Amino acid sequence: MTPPLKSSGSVQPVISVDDVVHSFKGRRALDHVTFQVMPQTLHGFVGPNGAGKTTSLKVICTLLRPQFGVVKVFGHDVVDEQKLVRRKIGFMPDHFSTYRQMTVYEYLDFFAAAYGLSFGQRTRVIDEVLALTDMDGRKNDLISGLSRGMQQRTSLARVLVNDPDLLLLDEPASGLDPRARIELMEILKALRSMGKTIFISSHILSELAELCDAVTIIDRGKVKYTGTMSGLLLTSEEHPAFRLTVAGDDATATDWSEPLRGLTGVLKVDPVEARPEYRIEFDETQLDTNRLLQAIIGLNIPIAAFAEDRRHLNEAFMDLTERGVK
Amino acid sequence: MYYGLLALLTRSLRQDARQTRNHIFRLCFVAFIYLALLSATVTSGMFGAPGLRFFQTIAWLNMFFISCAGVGYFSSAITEEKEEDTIGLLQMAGLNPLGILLGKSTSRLIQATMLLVVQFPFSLLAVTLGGVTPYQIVAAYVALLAYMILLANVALVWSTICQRGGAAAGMTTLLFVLYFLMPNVALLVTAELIDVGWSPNQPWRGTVLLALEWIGQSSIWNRLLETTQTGFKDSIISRQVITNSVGGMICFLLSWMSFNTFAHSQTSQGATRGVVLKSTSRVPFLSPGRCWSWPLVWKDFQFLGGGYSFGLVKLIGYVVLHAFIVYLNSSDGITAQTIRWGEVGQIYCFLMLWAVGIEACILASRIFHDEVRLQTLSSLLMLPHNVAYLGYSKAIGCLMGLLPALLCLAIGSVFLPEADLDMALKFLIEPFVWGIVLSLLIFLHLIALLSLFVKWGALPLAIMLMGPISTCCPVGQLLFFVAGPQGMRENFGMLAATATIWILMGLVCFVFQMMIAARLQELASK
Ligand SMILES: Nc1ncnc2c1ncn2[C@@H]1O[C@H](COP(=O)(O)OP(=O)(O)OP(=O)(O)O)[C@@H](O)[C@H]1O
Ligand SMILES: [Mg+2]
Repeated sequence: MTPPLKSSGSVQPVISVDDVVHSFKGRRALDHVTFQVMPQTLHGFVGPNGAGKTTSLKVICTLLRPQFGVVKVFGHDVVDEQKLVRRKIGFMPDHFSTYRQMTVYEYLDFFAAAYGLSFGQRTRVIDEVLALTDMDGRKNDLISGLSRGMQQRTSLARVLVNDPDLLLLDEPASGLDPRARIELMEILKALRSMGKTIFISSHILSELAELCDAVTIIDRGKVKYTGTMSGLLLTSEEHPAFRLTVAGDDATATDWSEPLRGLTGVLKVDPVEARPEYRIEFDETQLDTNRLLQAIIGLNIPIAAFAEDRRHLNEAFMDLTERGVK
Repeated sequence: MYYGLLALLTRSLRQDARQTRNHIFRLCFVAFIYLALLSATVTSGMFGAPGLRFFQTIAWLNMFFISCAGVGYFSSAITEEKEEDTIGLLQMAGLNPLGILLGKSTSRLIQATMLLVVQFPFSLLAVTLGGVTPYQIVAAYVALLAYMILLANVALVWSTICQRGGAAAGMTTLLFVLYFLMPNVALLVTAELIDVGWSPNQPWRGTVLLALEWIGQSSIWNRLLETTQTGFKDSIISRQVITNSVGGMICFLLSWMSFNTFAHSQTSQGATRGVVLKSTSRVPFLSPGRCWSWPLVWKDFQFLGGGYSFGLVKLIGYVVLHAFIVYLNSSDGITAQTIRWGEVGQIYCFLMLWAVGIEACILASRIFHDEVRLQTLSSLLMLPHNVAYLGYSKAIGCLMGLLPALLCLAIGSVFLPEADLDMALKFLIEPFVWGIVLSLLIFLHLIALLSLFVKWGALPLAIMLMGPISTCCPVGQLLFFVAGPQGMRENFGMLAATATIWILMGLVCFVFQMMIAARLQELASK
C-alpha cells in the first residue's frame, strides 16, 4: 500500500521516526510508526481524532520518551541528544501555551532570552517575527486580551524567535476563521521559502493539499500512508478528476456531457447540479491533463475554468482511515 | 429553578464523594482528633483536667482548620466556574443567581458543617475525661459554626467579585486578618473615646460606643478563650454568634445582588496582571522592561514576585507598619527619647519574620502552579535547559520578590537592643534555629510539590500534612538529646547538632526537588 519514499540519494531526513511504539496505560497510541520528513519540505501529518498525532509530535519534540523505537531529528537522537534537538526545533502545541499576563513583546522577549539570544539579537529577531506574523501593531497588548487568531500568531511568533530549522505545529489552524487560515498558510509558505522544514498536523487533508509537498496519514496509531502528495492520489482507487466550468449565458441550456463522454480515456462525466460545471474523471494510463484539455478545446466548448477536483483527496483520506474513533 | 438547584447540589455532592482528596481530608481530621485525645489521656497524669485540655485542643484546632482550609474551599466556589468558563452555561441552564449561589456555596457550607457535626460526639468524650461541661462544648461549637458561616459568605462575596480563585482567597484572608484585629482596635478606640469624655448615656455617642462594644465581642478568638475557661456560664447565643451569622447573611445578600454585575468574566479578562505596569504606562521604569539575560529569574520576579511596582507597594506597606508600631510604642508624644526602640525592634522583627514566611508560602504555592494553570509547562520544558536550571532560576526569581520584606527585616533588626543582636549572631550555630529553618524549607517544598497535584488548596493541605511530618520525625526533640545539657560537651554538641540538621536539610531538599522535577516532566508531556 505504501510506496517507497522518494528519498533523493544522500539527503539526510530532518525527522526520522523508526518503528516507534508508545502506550498510555496499556492503550496503544503509537503502533510501530515509521516515517521520514525531508529537508525544506512542508510535510502534512493528517489523521482523525485520537489518531496519535499529538503523541507523535511530543515524541519528536523530546517532551515524551518513546517507549520503543528510535526517533532522530537532524540525525540527533531525541533521547540522548535532547539539548541539541531542542535548539533546532520550534514546537507549537495544540493549546495556547502563553503567559496571559504578559504583553506580546514581553512574551517574545522572554523566550528569545531563554534561547540565549543577546540583547541586540533579541531586538532584531523580535521585530522580524512580529513583522512576519503581522503582529506589529499589537505588540504592547496583553496576551489575555487578544483574539484566538492573534494568540495563535503570537504562539507562532514565539516558535520562530530562536530561528529553528524545523517547525513542529500541532493543529495550528484549528479554531481559526477562513481568513486567518489563509493568512497562516501564507506565513507557512514564506517560512518554507526561507528554507525551513515544517511538519504540520491537521484533521483535514484537503486543507493541506495545496501547501504540502509530502504527507503522512495516521489512523489509530498506525501509519496508513507516507510519501508525496501526488503519490497519495495514485494509491487510492480513485482516478484523477478535473472540474470544467463552461462560460457563456446559455451555459445551462447546452448540455455538454454527451460530447465529453465521447472522448477517449474519459471514464465518467458528472454535471454539477444547477451550475455550468462538469466533473470529469479520466483514466490516467490513457490520458493526461494536457491531452484532456486539448480534446475539450477540440470540442469547441467555451471554457471559463479548468481545475483539478480536490474531492478525491477527501475520498482517499476516507479510504485510508476507518470509520468511528477507537 | 428548584429542579436546577437540586441538580447542582447533587452534582457537587457527587463530585465531592468521588474525589479521594476530600475523604483523605476528613480522615486526616479524624486522625488529628484521635491524636489530641491520645495526648490528653497520656499526659493526664502530669496535668489536671485532661477533658478540658482535650476540648481546648479540639476547639482551637477547629478554628485553625476552618480558617486555613475554609479560605481556599469557600472562595473557590464561584471563581472555579468562572475559571472554567462554565458560569454562562449554568445561567443558560435556567439557574438564577440565587440557585447558583446556594448550589455552589451553601452546599459547601453544609459539607463543612458536617465535619463539625461528626466530631461533636467525640468531643463529648471530654466530659467523661473531666473538667468540662456539655454546655461549654455546645457553646464552643455554636461559636465555631457562626464563624464558619461568616467565613463562607465573606469568601463567597469575593468569589463573586474576583475572577480568579487566588485573588478571592487573598482578599478573604486579608479581611479575616482585619476581623481578628478589629476587636482590639475597637477596645482601643473605646478607651480613647471614654477618655475624651464620651459616655454610654449620651444620645448618639452611646450608640457608637455600643456598636464598638459589639465589634469588640465579635471575634471567635476571644469567644473561644471564654468558652474554654472552667466555669463558663455565659449564654450560648453570644454577641459573637449573632454578629457573625448576621454578617454572613448580609454577605450572602451582597453576593446575590452583585452576582450579575460580576458574573461575566469576559468584561475583565484582560486585567490579570495586578499592579505590574506596562512599558507604555506613565512610569515606565516601574514596568518589567526588557528581559534580563537570566530570563526565568526576570519572569518570575516580575510576574510572580510582583516586580518593581508591587515591590514598592510592599516596601511602603512595611514602612507604614513600622511607623505604626513606633506610634504604639511611644508613651507620650513622639520624640526620640520616649520611643522604646528595643521593643519596636522586637515587635517589628517578629512581624516581619511572619511576613517573610507568609510571602514565601504564597510564592511557593504559585511558582509551579501558575505554569500548570497557564499550560506553559510544555513550552518551558522545551527550552534547551535542564529542569534543574529552570527550577532554580524560577526560585531565585521568586526569592527576589521577597527582597522588600527581607530588607525591612534587616533594617528592623538594627533597632534590636544590643543583647538581642549578640544573641542573633549566636543563633547562627543554634540547632534550634536551624530546626525551624529546616521545617520551613520542608514546608515550602511540600507546598510547591502539592500545588502540582491539586487545583487549589496546596497551602492548607501542606499545613495539615506538616502535623504528622513533624510528629513522625521530631528533629527538635532528637537534637535536644545531642545538644542538651546531658549531651556532649556544649560547643561540640551544638556544632554536631547543627551539622546534622544541615545534612538533613540537604537531603530533604534533594528528595523534594527530585519529586518536583519528575512531576513537572510528567505534566509537560500530558
Ligand atoms: N496523557 C495521556 N494519557 C492517556 N492516554 C492518552 C494521553 N495522551 C493521549 N492519549 C491517548 O492516545 C491516543 C492518541 O492521542 P493523541 O492526542 O495523540 O491524538 P491526536 O491525533 O492528537 O487527536 P486529536 O486530533 O484529537 O488531537 C488517544 O487514544 C488518547 O486517548
Ligand atoms: Mg492532538
